[in-house]
Formats: sequence, C-alpha cells, structure tokens
Amino acid sequence: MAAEGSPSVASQFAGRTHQERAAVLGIWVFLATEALFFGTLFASYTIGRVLHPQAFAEASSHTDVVIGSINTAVLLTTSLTMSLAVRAGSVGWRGRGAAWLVVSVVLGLAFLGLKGYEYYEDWDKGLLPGLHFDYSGPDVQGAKLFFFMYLVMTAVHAVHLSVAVGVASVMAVLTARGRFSADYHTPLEVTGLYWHFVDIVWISLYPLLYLGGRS
Amino acid sequence: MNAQRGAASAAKAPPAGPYWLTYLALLALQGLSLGSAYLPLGPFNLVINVGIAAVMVLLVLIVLMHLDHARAVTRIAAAAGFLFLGLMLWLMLADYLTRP
Repeated sequence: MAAEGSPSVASQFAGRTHQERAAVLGIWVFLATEALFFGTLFASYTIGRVLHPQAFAEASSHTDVVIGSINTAVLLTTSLTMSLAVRAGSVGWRGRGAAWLVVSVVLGLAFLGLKGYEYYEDWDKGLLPGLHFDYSGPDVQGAKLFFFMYLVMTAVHAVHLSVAVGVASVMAVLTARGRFSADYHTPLEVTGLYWHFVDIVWISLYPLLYLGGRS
Repeated sequence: MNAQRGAASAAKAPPAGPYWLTYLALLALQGLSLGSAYLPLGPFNLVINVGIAAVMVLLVLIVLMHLDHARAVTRIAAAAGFLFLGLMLWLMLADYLTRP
C-alpha cells in the first residue's frame, strides 16, 4: 500500500523534500519563461495601441464584454476551486480533492465553450482578420491589428487552458485512486501553479481586450 | 492505515479562509474594473483597469500560488520572469514613445 501510494524518490535527489523543492522551483522557472512568452504578445499589443490609440479603443468596444466578463468570473472561480483541490489533496482527502478538481475541469471547459461561441459571434460580425473581416472606421488597419492581437492572444491562452484542463483531469483520476497523500502530492501542487498562471494571463488580457473604449 | 493517516493529517490542513477571501476580493476587483470602464475618465480608464489587474495578479501570485510561504529561491525565480518582462516593455516603450 505504502509503495503504491508513495512513489520512490528519483536517484538524483537526496530525499522527498529535495525532490519536491526541485519540482516547485522547476515549475516556477518554466512559468517565468511563459511570462516572457506571453510578454512578447503584450508588447506587440502595446506597440499597436501606441501607434493606433483611437482604432484600438474603437475596436475593443466591439468585443463581447458580457461573455468576456462572465468568462473572467468563471476563471477566477476555478482559481478558488483549484486552490481547494490542492489543499484537500495535500492532506490526503481523496474524495474532496478529486471533486474540486472535477469542478475546476468542468468550469474550464465552460470557459472554452463560451470562448468558442464568442469566436463564432466574432466571425459572424466580421471581426476575425484572415477569416472574415468586414469592418468600417477611420483606421481600418489599426482595428485589424487589434483584432489580430485579440485572436492570437485569446487563442494562445485557450491552448494553455486546454492543457491545464487535460492535466487537471489526469490529476482528478490519480487523486480519486489515492495516489496522493500528506507525504506525497507534488504533482497536484505543480498542476495548481500552472492553472493559476493561466488565470493570471487572462486577468491581464481582460482589461486590454474587453474594457477599452467603453466610456 | 489510510484512515489513521487521514485523521492525523486532517489536523494539519491549512485554513481555507484566505482562499475564499481572496476569491471574493478578486470578484469585487473585477466588478470595480468593469464598472469603472464605463465612466468617462479619459486616459485614466486604462490606468485604473491595468492597476486593478496588477493587484489581482499579485493576489493570485501571493495567496493562491503560495509565494507568501515560498522559499527565497522560488520567489527569485517568480520575480525574475516579471522583472525581465518589465525590462522588455520599458526599453521597447522608451523607443516607441520617443520617436519623432
């Protein structure tokens, strides 16, 4: 039972604590590179906004603020449920841990579903450069740049969230099977950190893509 | 044995209160950001929206991602990503905002 519930420590580590610390540091280093990866997109957006301030304000008032705001609240809720899942898993509460993970996964899928519906709406309204773009205004090129950034940033975020949903699903199964305990729960911890990072990206995207040009 | 371990470790469960409080604060901040976006504040709309987003990001980093209890080396790794992101945006804007 103990052998199944607590996998052995890899040979390069002095002990379980050493291994856990290395894993947590590792995910943070990975997240730092992710911050820079998304940072290039935020930098591109910033340049576009500096060069076409009016067009960006005008264009961002055409995104769906209702779906965007609901989705933001949904993701904030998943950050709570993921925290509760990691907390439950870290003290060996199998049922509760798995349940909170399932809630997180379902809410993550709800976010992706709403985002998909929003893309359909955007396509219908002619707001997707390269696919269906039909927009009139004083600075069409600037608006096109905004919607290009909108599409790329939200799509890259959606890919990250899809990965998070997949990993969390696996964790839900492992937690339900009793793989994690108070002694060993590093994978849960790391999954939670990645999930929260994906949430942070959306918190940063929300004001830039949905709240401009509303007043 | 599992039950024993469960009972022993149940006492060690960290309090869930901070997570719930942070969640409520995040929702309130999102509402504030959304509401302020409809007030005619000129350039301050962006300043307020980005400022609120920064506070929300810090709340997630510190409370939900446990940087408040993290080891120094973990905090340095976390800070490094944002430091270099800040350098990139700063130097880039120094160029674009000073072009004739």
